[in-house]
Amino acid sequence: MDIQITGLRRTFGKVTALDGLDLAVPGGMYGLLGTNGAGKTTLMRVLAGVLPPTAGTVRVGGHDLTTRTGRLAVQRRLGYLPQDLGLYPDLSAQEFLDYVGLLKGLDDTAARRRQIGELLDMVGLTDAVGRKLRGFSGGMRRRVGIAQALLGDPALVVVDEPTAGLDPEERIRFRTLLASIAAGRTVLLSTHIVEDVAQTCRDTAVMARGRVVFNGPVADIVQRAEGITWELVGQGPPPAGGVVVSAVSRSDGTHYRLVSPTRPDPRAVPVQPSLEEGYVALMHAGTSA
Amino acid sequence: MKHLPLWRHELRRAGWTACSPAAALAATLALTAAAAAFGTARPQLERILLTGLEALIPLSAGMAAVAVVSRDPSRELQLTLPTPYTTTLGRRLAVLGGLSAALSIAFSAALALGGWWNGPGLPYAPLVWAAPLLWLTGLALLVAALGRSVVLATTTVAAVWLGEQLFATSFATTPGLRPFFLFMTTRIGVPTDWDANRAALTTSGALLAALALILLRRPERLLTEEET
Repeated sequence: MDIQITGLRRTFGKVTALDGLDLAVPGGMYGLLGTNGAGKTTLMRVLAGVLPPTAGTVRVGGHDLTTRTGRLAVQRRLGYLPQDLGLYPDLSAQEFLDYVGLLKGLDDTAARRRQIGELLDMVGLTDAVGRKLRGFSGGMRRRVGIAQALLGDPALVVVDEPTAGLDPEERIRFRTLLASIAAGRTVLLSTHIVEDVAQTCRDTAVMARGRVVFNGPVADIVQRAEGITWELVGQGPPPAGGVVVSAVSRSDGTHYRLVSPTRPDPRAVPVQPSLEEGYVALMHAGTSA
Repeated sequence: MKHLPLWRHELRRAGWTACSPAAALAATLALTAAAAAFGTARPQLERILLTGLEALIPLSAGMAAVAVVSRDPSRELQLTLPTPYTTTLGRRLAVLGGLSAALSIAFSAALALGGWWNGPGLPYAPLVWAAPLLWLTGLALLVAALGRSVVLATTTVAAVWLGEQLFATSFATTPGLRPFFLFMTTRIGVPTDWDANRAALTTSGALLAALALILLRRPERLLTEEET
């Protein structure tokens, strides 16, 4: 289910969250990177039909999201996991999924229950199926969230910051789960964690200030920092000029890695950039870095 | 019958809001029992029982209506589902209204059978509780939809309810306010314009609820300031 966005604007009063955004998303797993406030969540909400665009066109699977019929057609084939999915604490995982399934129009009771069983098994919650959701941990809640998103076998799955706040092990488990569901459908993963995109997506878009500043293979982001990534071993505070990406204290001093268009210090040596440094270079293009 | 499980889930999901009419009734019975223990005369006890129907159950329904609109942890998810969220809200309000009505009818019947009913006779008797319930619920829905704030909505509903209790004399004697006096039955009785008062409350309550539902058809209206 491809996504075609042209000139998308979304404002909230005087605040412009999306500023003439253009983006084309093919099938498969697709990343959407950006800092907090870049407009990712607003874009997710527009794609999910929660917010209407102020201007521009959004077509998902050929359906025009600016029309009521188009929005409904997309929502029938959509799985959505919002950034802050609140669950109904008095329902069990099975009841919650049954409830969402009914609201998704899965009226065949036997088929719905079979699918719920399969999804709970897939996300590893079979043992907790009858427990009330109020007792679930953060990771378990996210897994219930992805299970509800997959109900009805959606062609488009939109997940907004799914791994934020999870411990490393749970984060790895969750993004592996996301990658496993991408076959045969479009999964749009919005996050500010570069590593999550690096490990799961071939292509990604990077957003800043309501616009797309990069769109292409994840590997190409690294190229943005080539020739401008430096390592410097020193004592005391980090050097001025450039963006410090990491600082590791060792016996011979602090090893700084930084992104800077010019050599920040005579002792700095150029190094091969990482994806994170490519991302930093991209976000600071035209500013300090 | 395919929607029966959905109603069952809504009832379970409602949690404490489903219990609020019953809690109001329990409070009424406790107040009556306490008053009886202090030797309060029977006409006053009958009035306290009627107050439960005309004032407490409608107040609990109004507060619960605020929770229905303003306190949905899965609201953002709901807005992405093919079932319109206004339909879901309507179902939830129907659950709440149904529970309040069932309890009020049962309580009224019990009072009538026990000889404790001193309100109007049938077929107007249900308007003792139905008119203020609809009006307070409509007000709660509208303020919740307009303000997108639980605190604002609950405070407004409580303030209006309390204001009408505290300034009952003004409401009873001011021609412009009298049609919107929620507690006419328990404060005045059943005067000649009682039915006009109930008709005004019912009509304006339905209007407030309709306005709220129109506002709630805009999805972003349902998200709080923090969520947008």
